Amino acid sequence: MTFTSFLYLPILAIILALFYVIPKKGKILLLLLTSYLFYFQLQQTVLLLLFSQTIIAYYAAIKIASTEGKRKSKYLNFAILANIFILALFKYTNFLLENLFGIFNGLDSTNSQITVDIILPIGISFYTFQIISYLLDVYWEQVEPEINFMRFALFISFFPTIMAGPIERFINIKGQYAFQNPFDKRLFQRGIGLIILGLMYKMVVADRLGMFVDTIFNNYRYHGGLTLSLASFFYSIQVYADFAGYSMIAIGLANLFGLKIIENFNLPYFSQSISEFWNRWHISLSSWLRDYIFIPLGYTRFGTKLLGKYRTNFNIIVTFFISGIWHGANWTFVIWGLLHGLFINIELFFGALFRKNRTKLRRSSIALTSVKIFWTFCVLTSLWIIFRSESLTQAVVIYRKILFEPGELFNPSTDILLHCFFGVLILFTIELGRYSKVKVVNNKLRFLIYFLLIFCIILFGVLDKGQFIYFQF
Amino acid sequence: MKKHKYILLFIVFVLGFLISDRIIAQWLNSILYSVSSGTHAEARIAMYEQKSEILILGSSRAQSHFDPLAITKVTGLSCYNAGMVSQGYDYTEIITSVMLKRYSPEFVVIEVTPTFFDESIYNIANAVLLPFAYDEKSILNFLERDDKFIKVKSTISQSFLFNSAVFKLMIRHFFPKDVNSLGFAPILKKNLNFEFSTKQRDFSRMKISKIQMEAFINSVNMFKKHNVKIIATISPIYLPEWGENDKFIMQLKEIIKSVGGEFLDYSRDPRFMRKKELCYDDLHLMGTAATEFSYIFGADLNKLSHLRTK
Repeated sequence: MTFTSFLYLPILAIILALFYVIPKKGKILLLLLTSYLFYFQLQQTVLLLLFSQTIIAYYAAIKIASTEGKRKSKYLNFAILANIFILALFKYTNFLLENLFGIFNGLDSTNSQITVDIILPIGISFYTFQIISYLLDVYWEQVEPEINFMRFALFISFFPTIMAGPIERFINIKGQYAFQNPFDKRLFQRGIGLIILGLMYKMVVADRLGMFVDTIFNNYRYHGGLTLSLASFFYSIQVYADFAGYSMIAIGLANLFGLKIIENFNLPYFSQSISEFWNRWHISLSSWLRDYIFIPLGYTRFGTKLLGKYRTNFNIIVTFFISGIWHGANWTFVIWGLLHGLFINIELFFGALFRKNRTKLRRSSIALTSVKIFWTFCVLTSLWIIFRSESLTQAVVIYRKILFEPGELFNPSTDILLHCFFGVLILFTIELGRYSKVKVVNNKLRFLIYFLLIFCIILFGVLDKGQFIYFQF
Repeated sequence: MKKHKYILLFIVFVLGFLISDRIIAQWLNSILYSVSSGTHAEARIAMYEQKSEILILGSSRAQSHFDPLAITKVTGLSCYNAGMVSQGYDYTEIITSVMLKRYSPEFVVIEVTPTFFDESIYNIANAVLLPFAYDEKSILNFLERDDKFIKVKSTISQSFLFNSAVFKLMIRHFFPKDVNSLGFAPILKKNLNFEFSTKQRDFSRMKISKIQMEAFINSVNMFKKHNVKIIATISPIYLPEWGENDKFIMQLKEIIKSVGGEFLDYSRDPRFMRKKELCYDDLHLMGTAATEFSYIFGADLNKLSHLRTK
């Protein structure tokens, strides 16, 4: 059962009713039990793992805060390494084995047969990063450790965010667990709106596009460049609608329980550069990488002599390497991350070049802005091809076909393509409205829009369709 | 006061939803019965309109391999192809149950490609038949196997029954095509540089879909009950994935035998097997080859004189 399951709605209504009926003290317990039950029904066997990681982090944080000097560092290192080890064990064991086996067999990884049957716990990358940020914040004395175990466990396992984020910071959420003002009408209304919009993004846009995209990418050898280009364009929209839709639902659900959590997207496809894109896309991850990887790398003296003035460029590459590998145990993700790092470095280089000649350049016009947005979207779409491909070979074949073998456009049926373009059009209209800062102030109009969106989901949505793309990360 | 306001708002929302929902569903239902081509029209004709003596059932292989005009020419019996692309035996079962309330054909030809019983092949009967549940509530009993909340959903929202069908209906409604193909959908487009498979699959490892198997058995039993003669066929294929005496084929033959039917296997017919020029892909014949096969099939049907009453 996920957010888009039919059964989810009545269960949520019951929990919500209970939440507003029971006294303040019981609210944390109710949310914690709900979160654990929710996680348990998703993956029964790994609940214990989540619980163990929570306990390690809980005690380690208390110890970090209560000690000084080397012991403090020791506790931090132990807790972080333990969490990274668990993440690596569950997520990267097979990847490491495949590659080690490949090296010993003449780099031909296709011959590798050694794999270990390990379940990938849902959301492990998300909650592990959440734990690491908490431990570091306690170590840097930016936040006091949480003494109340239930509150801390809820922070890690909160059911709207455990599967695919946003990666929340304890500093943002700690004060809200007191539930001093349990019913905030505006927040509640916002929550409902976000849930409806999120469901629309997921079911009407992402899942519809997914049907076309999966058909083409799974049979990429039979299709020409034109079809693969269209599928790549649709995948760009799909991956955004899927993940942004999930984030909206997660944030909306938190809002219903009176909690405000971090925003995860801010019109990423209106970015004028790849660097700007990373300030707008998966904000909770990119800000995490900035605060806990990129900035600390800048403070260390590592490689100063060797890299000289290029140390920042190197740190960017390292950060995006981690971003890539975080997304999945496959070289496609690593290369995808590294290429993003490379593009940001190129932008930095040209940015520095243009700054020297700033006076010669005119201020950006609408046309120039549009060109920049379009160019950035094209670069992003071409990089999503690697992200979507199951292997680097597949990505190379797709690029080759797009560039040199256009072929005919595959049309499975007119209504499938109509569904896809309808989804893209709706998404574009909403996003353009938000970009132009159009605000629906009139409550009746907003009510009518929600009403239309509900019918849109009923008539055009892919109902009860599987999982969100980002669950696998 | 505030509480009253919220309750009133809620009532307005629910009433507004129910009224709009019913109006939309009624409108879409009227379109469903007015379209003359497309998947919905074909399903509707199969269930409510055609009265042919030979009825073809099955999935895309049935729909694109059996040419009713060719079969009629050879047998002298009227024929309708009720095969449907991307549909399995759950679809066949529903079509059968609705159609048999109205009339019984003399022969029913069911295409039984073993591959289509595989659990991993995803068939969605509701993609075509869900809108018909607006008038024919019994359809929901069958669709409940795939979605246990389907009755609750359709009670809350009747326009839910038209989920995913709106564009299909609209295209056919506003851009009608005058087709009189008797359900036959030959593949006329060119081959997609398909890499034809050369290996046989280990069918003993195939997980048979319980739903598909149950639906198939139910369908043949329904026909038997209505004294309809059953002919199960495996139409030509580029290369059969199954062995000649595969356990599953034997099982299918047993089922057909138990209802007094005939089993005609063309999967190893040398006139079609491994002939790339006649095939669109691993599973489907090109249109011309399909018509050629239909003449052969019609002739074979004539040989089954013990089954014929006319």
